[in-house]
Amino acid sequence: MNRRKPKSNNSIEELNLRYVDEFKAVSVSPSLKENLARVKELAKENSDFVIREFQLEDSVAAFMFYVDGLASGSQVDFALKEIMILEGGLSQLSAIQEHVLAVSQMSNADNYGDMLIGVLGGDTALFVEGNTKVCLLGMRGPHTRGVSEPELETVVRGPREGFIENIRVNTSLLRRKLKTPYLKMKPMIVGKQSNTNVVITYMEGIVDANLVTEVVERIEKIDIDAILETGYIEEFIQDHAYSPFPQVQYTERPDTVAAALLEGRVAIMVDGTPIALIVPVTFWSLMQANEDYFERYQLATLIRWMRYIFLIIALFGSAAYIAVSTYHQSLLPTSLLLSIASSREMVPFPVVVEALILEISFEALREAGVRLPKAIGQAVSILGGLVVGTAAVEAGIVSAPMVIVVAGAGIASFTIPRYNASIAVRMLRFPLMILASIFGIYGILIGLVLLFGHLVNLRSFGIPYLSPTNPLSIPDLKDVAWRAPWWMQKDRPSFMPLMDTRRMGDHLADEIAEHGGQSGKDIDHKQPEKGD
Amino acid sequence: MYKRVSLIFFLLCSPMLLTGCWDRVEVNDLAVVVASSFDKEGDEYRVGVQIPLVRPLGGKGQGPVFYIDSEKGKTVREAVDRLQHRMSRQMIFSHRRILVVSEEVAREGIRPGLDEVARLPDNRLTANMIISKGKAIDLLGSSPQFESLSAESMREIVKLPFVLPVNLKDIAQALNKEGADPIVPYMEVTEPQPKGEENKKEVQLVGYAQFKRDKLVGVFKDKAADGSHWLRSHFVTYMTTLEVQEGNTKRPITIRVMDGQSKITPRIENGILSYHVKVEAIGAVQESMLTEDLRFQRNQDVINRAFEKDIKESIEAFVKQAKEKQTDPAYLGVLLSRAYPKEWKENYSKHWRDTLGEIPFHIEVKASVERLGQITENITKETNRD
Amino acid sequence: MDCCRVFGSGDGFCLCEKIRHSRLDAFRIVHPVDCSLDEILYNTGVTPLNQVQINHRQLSWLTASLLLTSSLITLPSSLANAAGADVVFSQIGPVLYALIICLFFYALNQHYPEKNLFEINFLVAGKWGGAIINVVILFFMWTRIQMELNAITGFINTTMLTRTPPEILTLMFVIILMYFGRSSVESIARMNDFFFPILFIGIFPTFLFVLNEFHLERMEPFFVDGLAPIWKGNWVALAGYGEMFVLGAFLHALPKSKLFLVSIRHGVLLSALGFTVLLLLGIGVLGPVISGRVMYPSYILVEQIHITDFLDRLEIFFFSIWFPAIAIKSVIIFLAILIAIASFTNNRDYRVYSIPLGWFILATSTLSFQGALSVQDYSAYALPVIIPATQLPLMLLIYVLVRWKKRKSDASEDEKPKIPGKIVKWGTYVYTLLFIAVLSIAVGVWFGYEYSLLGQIMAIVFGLCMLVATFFSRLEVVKLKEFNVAQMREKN
Repeated sequence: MNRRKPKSNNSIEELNLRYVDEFKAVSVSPSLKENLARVKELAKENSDFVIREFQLEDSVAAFMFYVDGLASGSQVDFALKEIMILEGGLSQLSAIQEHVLAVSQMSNADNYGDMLIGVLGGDTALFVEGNTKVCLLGMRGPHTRGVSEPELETVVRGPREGFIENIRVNTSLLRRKLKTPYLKMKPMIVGKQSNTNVVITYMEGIVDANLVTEVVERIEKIDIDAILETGYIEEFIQDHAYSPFPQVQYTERPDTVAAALLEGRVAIMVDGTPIALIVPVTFWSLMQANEDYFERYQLATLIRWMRYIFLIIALFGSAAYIAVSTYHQSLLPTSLLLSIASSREMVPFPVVVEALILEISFEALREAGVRLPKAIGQAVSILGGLVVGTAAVEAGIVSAPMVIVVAGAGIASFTIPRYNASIAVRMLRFPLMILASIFGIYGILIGLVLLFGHLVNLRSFGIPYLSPTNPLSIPDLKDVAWRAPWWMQKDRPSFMPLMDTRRMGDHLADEIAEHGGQSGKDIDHKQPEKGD
Repeated sequence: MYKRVSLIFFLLCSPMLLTGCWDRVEVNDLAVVVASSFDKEGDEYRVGVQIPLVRPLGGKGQGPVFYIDSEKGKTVREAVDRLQHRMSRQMIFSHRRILVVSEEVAREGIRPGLDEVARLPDNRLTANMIISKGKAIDLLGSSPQFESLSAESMREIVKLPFVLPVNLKDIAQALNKEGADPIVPYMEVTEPQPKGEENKKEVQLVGYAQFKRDKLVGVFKDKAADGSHWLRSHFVTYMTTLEVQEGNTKRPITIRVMDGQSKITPRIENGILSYHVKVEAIGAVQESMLTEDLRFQRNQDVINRAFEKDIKESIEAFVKQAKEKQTDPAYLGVLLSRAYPKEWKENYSKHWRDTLGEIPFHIEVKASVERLGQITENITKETNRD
Repeated sequence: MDCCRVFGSGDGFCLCEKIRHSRLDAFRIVHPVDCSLDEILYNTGVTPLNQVQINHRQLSWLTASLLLTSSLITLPSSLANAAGADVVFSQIGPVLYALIICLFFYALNQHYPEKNLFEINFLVAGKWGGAIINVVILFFMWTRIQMELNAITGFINTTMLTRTPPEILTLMFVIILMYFGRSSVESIARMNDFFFPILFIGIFPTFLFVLNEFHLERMEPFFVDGLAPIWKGNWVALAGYGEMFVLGAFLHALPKSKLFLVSIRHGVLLSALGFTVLLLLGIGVLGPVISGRVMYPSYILVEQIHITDFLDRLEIFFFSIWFPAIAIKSVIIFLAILIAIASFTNNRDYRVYSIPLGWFILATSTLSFQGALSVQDYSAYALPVIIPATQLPLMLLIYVLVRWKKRKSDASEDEKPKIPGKIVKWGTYVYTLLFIAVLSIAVGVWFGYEYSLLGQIMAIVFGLCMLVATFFSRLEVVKLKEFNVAQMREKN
């Protein structure tokens, strides 16, 4: 990035600027003709760049420059109308701004870089003869998609809105959840060519300032040409680049983001994608779905325990089956052993090969189901699963118990709420299966110890990955081991550095704990029962 | 640098992949031994195994469900090894739940045969042992009606609620102590009455085998077997039939002994050892051929007394048989060592079984028949017309 | 504080961004600059290798794991052989020995905080004297880890994978050791946080499950054979407690102040309790004779679990609960060896020695013992002689040297706050209970021969004493921690 001192008379081409950043060195000249020439150069071969020249009263020349599709056409007409019927001989831009234009958002720019950033974001630039400042009218255009239910994270009970691609809509959705000025949205621009708007949101007063600084610093270090999705950012900012486990959580729902912000985390939203990132993350929060917090705690606790059991099944299911059926047949009850043996009589492969074939087919089915359009996708998964599976069993290529085990482990891996965690689990199944096939249960145990050792060493922005179980912090276990009812969760999780640790006042919580619920003063509980 | 490291790593790992998994046995390369038998043939042992046959799923095989094979050898494992030489699948013993020992072998002593039971990791100490009348391999060969494998039927019989549970661990414990002897279920092969198919025979539990050290010396049957239920730490229910005097005739009544507690206390008074057995029993009437209505207290008293007499006789029969053969099937020696460790060590432990014959047993029984079932007397009995 | 003495992870810039250093001189003082530990922790996400800290609970669990886990596999057989039914009383003597080692470490920690045992040796005995002492300790630890590897390999070879060559099994285990050798004791303490409670609490479901086979009344009573089995049992059990010495390698990472002593005490009592319960189960279910003849009584014990046909063969499941804890113990000894080796250089960074040491141990352990049985014999009969013979004189020597050195530069010890009697009284209770336990053994032995009822009562008293002593030591730990926290709050 060489910054050269530009001469204001040079055309853009001669200046040889590559990035929008570099345009910041070119300042707006007072001569409208020059500006017009430069802007026309920029608009060369760009059919959606619109330049509208007009004249104010007193024949002061001016022009408006906007991008069709990004700026709202009707509002541009409206602004034009306002200016063109202007009376009173105002030719100073500041005067026009303050007295005439009834546009809600306005800002100024004095160089081409800022002007371009604004225009490319949807603003309209107003150049007036004789002014070195450009007025940027914020009349951004229509949104691309309506707010709808996110596809990745559907809930039975809970809000049905999800983020969309436009970042202003996203921040507005978030702002609706937390109506406080302390919800800060810090803007950044990342990406040399894409100049993507990135917004870092946090709750000031709850979050640790160091965390925010750290996040900002890590993102500022990113020096890439385009950020198309939050996944790009994720890979740049995580603590351990080689680990299969995600150290950053992503979500499409504003309520998840809001809840995370209230726990002292920081969210990163990127323009152009509905996926927002949340840092830092712990392994146990990857196992939690936000629906847990909307339903009653008994149900949520049971489902949580089921998830943990299924996590173990997903990780160790096939491996355990391989280990037990080839090395430790004494573990199985006799009748089960005999029925497994009879179902494997015709199968030519050893158990490991069978398992690998089935696992890989399962992954292929899943992937194919994602890529295909919805209508065909359903049919393929049913076809693949039922028909082909049954046919394979009958032809003697795989055995029925193996299909059950692999399907069970696959379904178990889908109960993990976060997709990236379930991918990690599915990937790790394969080495475990190989280890199990060589060493039996000893192999699985070695794999378990190594895996756990890896997890224990991971950190996400400084927070140990397995908090609150290791390092053990018993008060925080109430949200991990079970889901404590809301009136018990007085404090925020303590393994995060926080400035404000209390979530709620004591009064009601103590009352509920003491009386086992609320009892109304205005309702008379001692009414005699009707029905004598 | 990384290239070098990974090269070395792969070089070192590849031998592991070349050799293959050493312990891996596919399920279809296994012959699961569900029961084994132990006979004597001349100087050698004859070991028989029962192996279920695996038919492919969906195949319409109606063939035999299991097969039996046996082989001779000086030790058990040698016989098994010879047997393996003609089997295409590897035998595993970890599912062997029944070990049938023939009476002949038991008379000579079961200790040598039990060495391999704990030595190999395959074997289970939770297996049950059965002494067979006659050849052990016949017991394996019987194909009872209910279960497809005779091993299964033997095991289920041993697990019935009124059979004393004895597994190999108990036998080992009784054998390695001075103050106890094992008792083991004793079965024989019988035919159903009327005769069924040609080779369908049943196995029947006859009683309990009585051991002196590790040699079989007798069998507890009938009354003595009933008595054996009492002299244990945990009571096991059983059924008994009493004869009650009614007028001039004796009528039978069958009672299930539901609950019982027995306390065996050794007592040494003035240097003389005696055992006090205190028994409390509760019975439930299963079937009554009496004419009297059992609702009335006086009838119940009669039955209670007959019940007590019956229990006492059972215990006495058991003790008498134990004393006759100089065995200690009820951990009496261990009880003595717990109560009087000094006397046990110095006086009794050396000649325990010899002195057993003279030890008096004082048996006290308190029994009542508290449960009558759903009726108090036979519903078809005529009512009394005045 | 020196911020450059920070990075454990490769080349990097010092936090002050002025001096660049490579991995090898990461732990030397290069450029003193002030930065707080919080900043370092936060910005790098890694606790520097010489600033690791284990908290008190992790310490007590670490100690318990160190002592309990491998003895589970190897010792009960020889114990039952030596002591018969009185094996349940065999833990009390070694507990007292372990407490002596605790006190020794506490004294060292008082005088030389922030230094581990090996560095202290160098400091007090000079370059050559310290080297000799360290080599002796190193040799002891090296022998121990070879025994561990052999024991585990023998166990798996005998019970589960009978045909796999033992070298390969050891290789897999060594891979775990090498992996953890590249991290610090903090991460192993965190793993232990997870697996040790599972192990310890898992002993109690075992109890529940074998209850139907638990016939204590069929076994010979306690205390009948006089004092001989009891002191033989204590003597053999000493083999398991020699590992306490290994904790000396981590003295720089442990909490300072009395909390240290109290946590270790709690850990020792925990492991004694757990082991006693397991031995009791072994005696009650299998009997002392079978326990003595079987190589792995604990494994046979869980083999006896037979609740219904379904819950029949749970021993592999129980093994998979025990195994991570056993692996953790071996890793601790491995880390201690690494720290010892690193103390010979100027650096505290031992991670570069991890892989070579792993291969070395793999090779030597394959060659050193002739099979699991010789390991058991060595552990049961040779170790109880070696441990007091080497450790006691060493401890005495080091302690004398430390006091001598410190006598010259006396005076400046910080005023330690007086610990209120409320907390100290729990410690006194613990000691009294242990004393009562010893007394109960004495009474039982003296009178149990004549009056067997008294013997049984004394056994119950002993059990209760152990249980309550463990409980009280836990109370002491908790209360002392609260006290420390309150003190620190007052200071700020």
